[in-house]
Amino acid sequence: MMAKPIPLRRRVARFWHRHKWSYFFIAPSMILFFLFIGYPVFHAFLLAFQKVSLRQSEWVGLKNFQDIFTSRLFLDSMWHTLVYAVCVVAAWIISSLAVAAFLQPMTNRVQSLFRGAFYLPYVTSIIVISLVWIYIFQPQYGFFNYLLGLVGLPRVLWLQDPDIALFSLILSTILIVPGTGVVLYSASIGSIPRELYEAAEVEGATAWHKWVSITVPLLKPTTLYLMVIYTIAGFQVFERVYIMTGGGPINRTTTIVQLIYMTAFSDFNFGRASAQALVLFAIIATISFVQFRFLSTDVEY
Amino acid sequence: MKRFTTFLALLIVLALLVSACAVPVAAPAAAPAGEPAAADGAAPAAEPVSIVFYQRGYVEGGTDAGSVNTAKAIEVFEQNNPTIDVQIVGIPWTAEGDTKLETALAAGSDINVFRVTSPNLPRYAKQGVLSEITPYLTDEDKADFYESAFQVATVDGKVWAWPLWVTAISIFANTDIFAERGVELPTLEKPWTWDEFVAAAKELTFVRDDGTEVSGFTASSKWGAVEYYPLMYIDGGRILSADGKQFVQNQPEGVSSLDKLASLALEHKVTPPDFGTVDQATVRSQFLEQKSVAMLMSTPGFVPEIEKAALPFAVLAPPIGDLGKLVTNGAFGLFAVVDVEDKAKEAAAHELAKYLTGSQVATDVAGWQLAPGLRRSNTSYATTPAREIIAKLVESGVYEAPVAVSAELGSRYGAALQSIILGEQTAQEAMDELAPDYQAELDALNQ
Amino acid sequence: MSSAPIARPTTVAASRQWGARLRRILVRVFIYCGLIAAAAVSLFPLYWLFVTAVTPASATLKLPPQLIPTNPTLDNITNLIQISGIGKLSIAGLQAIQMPRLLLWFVNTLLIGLISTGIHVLFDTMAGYAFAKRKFPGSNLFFWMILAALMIPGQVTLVPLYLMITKFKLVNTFAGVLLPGLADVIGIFLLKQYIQTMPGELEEAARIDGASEWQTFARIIVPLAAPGMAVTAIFAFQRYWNAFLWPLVVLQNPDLFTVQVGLSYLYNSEFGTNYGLMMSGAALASIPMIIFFFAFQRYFMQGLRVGAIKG
Repeated sequence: MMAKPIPLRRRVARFWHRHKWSYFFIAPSMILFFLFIGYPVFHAFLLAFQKVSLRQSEWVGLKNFQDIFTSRLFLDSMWHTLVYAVCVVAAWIISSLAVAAFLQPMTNRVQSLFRGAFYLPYVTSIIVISLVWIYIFQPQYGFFNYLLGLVGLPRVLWLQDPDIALFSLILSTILIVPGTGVVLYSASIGSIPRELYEAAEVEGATAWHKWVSITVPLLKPTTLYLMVIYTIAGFQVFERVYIMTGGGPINRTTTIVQLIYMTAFSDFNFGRASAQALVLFAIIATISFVQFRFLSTDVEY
Repeated sequence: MKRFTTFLALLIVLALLVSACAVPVAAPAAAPAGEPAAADGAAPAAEPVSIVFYQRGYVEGGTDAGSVNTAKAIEVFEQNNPTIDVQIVGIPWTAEGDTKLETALAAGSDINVFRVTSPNLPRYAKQGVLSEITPYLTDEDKADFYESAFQVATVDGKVWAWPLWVTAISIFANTDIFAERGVELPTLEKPWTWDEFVAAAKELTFVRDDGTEVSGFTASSKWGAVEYYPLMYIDGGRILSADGKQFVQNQPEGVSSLDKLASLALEHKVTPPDFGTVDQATVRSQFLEQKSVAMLMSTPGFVPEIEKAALPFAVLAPPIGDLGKLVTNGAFGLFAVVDVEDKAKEAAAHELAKYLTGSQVATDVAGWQLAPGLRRSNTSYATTPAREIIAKLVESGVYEAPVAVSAELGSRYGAALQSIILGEQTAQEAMDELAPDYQAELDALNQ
Repeated sequence: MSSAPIARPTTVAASRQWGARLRRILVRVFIYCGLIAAAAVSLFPLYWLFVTAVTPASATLKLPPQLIPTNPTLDNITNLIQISGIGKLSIAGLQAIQMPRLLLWFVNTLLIGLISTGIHVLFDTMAGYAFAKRKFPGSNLFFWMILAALMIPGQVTLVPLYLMITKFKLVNTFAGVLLPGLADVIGIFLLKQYIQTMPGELEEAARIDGASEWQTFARIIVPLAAPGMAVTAIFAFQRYWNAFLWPLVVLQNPDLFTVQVGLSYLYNSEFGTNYGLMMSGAALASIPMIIFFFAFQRYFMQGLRVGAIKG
């Protein structure tokens, strides 16, 4: 038996009826997005295939990409940025989760205080934080070398030694517990219904067991969010490194966004900068895709 | 469902493509650089003309020295030129300020005159957005300016910006430490040779009784704020040939002065451990507050700070090397005029730039001259003995031609300097490594 | 046996109990110490910032840095107020009010921040809800587009965006600063993740009871998503408050500047940066942010209560 084909008008009407609210809910954000982000990004995307400077532009196809991949500095920057991002993301997720976990059994007042303590540093501008770290790392009077001196160890050239500068930068980033992670994990852990824990306790679960089989899995959405956001932030690191080492010494800490900035606003080579940005985007997108694969679940409390 | 999604995606891409093609990548370009037949030349415009002036560090109604001076200068200029109306847009003295200026340039916004420093000038000149000043220079002007004043703005005989002043680098000496160690100060008439300089620096490097270390010499070394540049020229070497077409720092004279520079840190050990990578704020603090450095090579901008801190100091010339005469180096402040279609505006802009770089403005606006001027007739900078010495050094300046190498090459060059000072490479190795790529870029620019 | 004193642990089991309790206390203390140490390290830059802000300018860059201010002074702040001059505040036709520019900048930034944050939270919650709970064609596509845009560094979109703003004649206006900021989509991702974890039965129940879509959203989803919304509000406000490059490029009239933009003019000169002024400015600028944070923090508490109600 063949079903009668439904006329187009009715199909459209049904579609509209079913989905109009969904589109309504996303409309304001999406309109703003397309106007002020989508379009410029698309524009930048097109620039990647052109040779663009202040007064002219011409299409050159894939030449920009060719130039990028034969540039030693670009490949080095890619490597530095990758190392930095991987270390920082891992450390941040672990430390913020640990702190949020330790905060959990405490009273609201105490939690509030600690959360404030961890988040507040992020309200100051990154410039200030970077300057503070320059002083901490200063070879003659800095705090770290002072500590080393106390236990009789020789002074370390934290930001001056080409071999350890990148490590020092990573250290300065991970020593500070990320307030965003603590705040989010706190909110999420707090949202897990008590009953789940109570049910587990009845069956004799230990604290560790409760942690591993209830809390962590239920935190997957938050973990996914933080991982993606931290990855993006890690790969896009710029001001912090630029202020502390300027990409040196001997270009051993140059990051990809610094290179993009220099290419766009020092060389006025907007086309090549866009190409670099596209490569960066491709890498971040791939990593995020993998993260989504592993951590995306339909978790409902 | 899936088909609908792809359809939606295609629709979006199509919409974006259409709108993207409707908008050119940059706003319609102005006429190419060159002299159109109906140019006004140097005569001021007869009908009212309004120009836009991008000035650094200017806040409208601000009470800091920079804003007040700019406002006064523009006021006087407008009085003397009633047909020209100047609109001032301020940009901060940071890299982001550069970005603001450049974004406006890229978007084709109205800009007629802007303040620029010599490290940044080459890029703008290369892009073809500047208007040549040579037609607006009278013979009087040409005689008045020092020859070296135009070195930094000249490409193929054409001058691309009006030179305002130069931050002639000199050595600041803490006379208390000199007296403490019994080291005699050189004078401008009888400056140090290199060996005398090194011997003095060694004497001035010691450990105090309370354990604080004092070093003989240091200078800001972070790439983008390198202030030990003069030392690279004392043997007659330079980075580029005078016409800007050859990379010559791997020649013997260039290499020997780099060797001398590195020897300060590696062989004679008269510098603090962070020399080579240290930033300007830290070295100034070392000189001024910690007093852990006896000699600091830096720019004239530091002088007001030293005076404010009431530290007894003297200004010394850089030591003399194999070249046999005084040299210095520094960054220029300049005013660049943008090449626009409206030639009346361009002429008016040149008038403004000429006024701001003339000797008259220093008398009209008190405190205008913050660094030594570049005109023989402009003597308003030398208000103290220290400043006089700096002003006298200007003439001995050696400056590189404005060649816009890529930012990447620039940063590799900075890295090479650092690796020489840190002892990772010898000067000859580092410069030889850089030479082929540097020369390749120069050749490409000169095609 | 029964007449022995009770206090002493006489059996092995009892002593093990003491041992276990001691261990628990030690662990507790250890955790507290660890947390306090971590917090101290995190707070150090902020602390140092405020110390430098009240340190007289000449002593700012002392190495080793002074941890306790010896001559606290408000000179830096009065200096800032002075050199920024006097500006005029005028909102859409209202009479212009004169006030010190520094204060004006705070007002501007507050206005932009609050308006943006408010709109942001509303739009993002709506979109986050739709992406989390509703299935509609294109939802995955749009979501991935949003996410992808976050991965492009802002430097390359600066000029195209500026070109667009120029065309809309929004250069040097509040709208020019506000609108592109509103398109920032980081909140949508956050709220999607958060709302996703809420059980679907609540919506079902509401719909069965005859509530309209908007009512379901407003009465059920929003209260439960409040902690997520509070977090988004804090993050959003912070981004607007500290935004620097875009407002700098767009604004030219000093009366319209935001705090970060205005400050950058004051402490930078051709010859270097005045770190004392910079730190004072940064310290001042961080105060409203701190207040905002503590104000919104208590909404996280709701998270705990929600857990108790459900079930």
